[in-house]
Amino acid sequence: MNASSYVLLITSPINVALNYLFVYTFKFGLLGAPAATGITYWLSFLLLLCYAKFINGSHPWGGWSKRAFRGWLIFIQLALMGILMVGTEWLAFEIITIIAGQLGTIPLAAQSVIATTDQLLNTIPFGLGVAASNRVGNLLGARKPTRSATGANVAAWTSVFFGSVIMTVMLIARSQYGKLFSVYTLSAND
Amino acid sequence: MVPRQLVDSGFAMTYSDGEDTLGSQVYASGIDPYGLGVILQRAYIILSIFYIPFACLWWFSEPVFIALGQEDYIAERSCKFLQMLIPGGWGYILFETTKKYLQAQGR
Repeated sequence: MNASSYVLLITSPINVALNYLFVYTFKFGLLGAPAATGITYWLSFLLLLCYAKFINGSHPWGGWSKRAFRGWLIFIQLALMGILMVGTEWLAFEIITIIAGQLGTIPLAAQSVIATTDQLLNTIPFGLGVAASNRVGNLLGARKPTRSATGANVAAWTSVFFGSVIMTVMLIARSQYGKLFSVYTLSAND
Repeated sequence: MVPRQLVDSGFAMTYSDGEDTLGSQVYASGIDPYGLGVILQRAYIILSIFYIPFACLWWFSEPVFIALGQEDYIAERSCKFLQMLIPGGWGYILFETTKKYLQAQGR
């Protein structure tokens, strides 16, 4: 497990507790949730900084440097590519949500089940993507282009494998799955 | 629903893709011992600047939600929700950025 997993292991329960405290105990209402979540984010950041500083990972840090103000173009190019990819994907789902909202409450509820599921399942390819880009990047940096290419291929095939498994499970469980989200018994056929 | 997903979409994750690709290469090449630290600083600065337009959009999101056809009370309360989330969103960006710095080192 890596550092950020440990941090999230600590801060996730704190997030739940803070949300409960703010919303129910202190009766902050709607604004309690974002306040609690914001505190959790800052806490996670500070804990991660402490890990990097005191436990492991401070050696690439050479102090604040003017070099941070150079080389913005390639960084922004890479960032914009990322925004374009993920942004268009999210936009596609937002369009579905807006249209479903105009169809009525039940289609919107069904859509929100799908959206929640999608978010949950998305953590698998997302994690795979992070692992792949770090692996490919490390091997490229170490001047091992062939192994780097193998790493990229492994990532692609692993995602095909996981995609197939998830698809099969969802197809088999589709008539039961919706019941997890609702006490009402409207099914896909209604 | 719409505003909640807006919040969840995690702009920081996509922004910090730049750090993923660059950081791991610089670290593994070993040519520049402080290169990754510099990339982290650069990411802090650039991503914080990128956050400003989103913070503005969140602060003034009520008319946007109304224009998207949401009901008035939903638009008003979603806007308040997002306004409250603005400081936390910045913390999230800094967390994601630091996370990538550690991930590039394999930690």
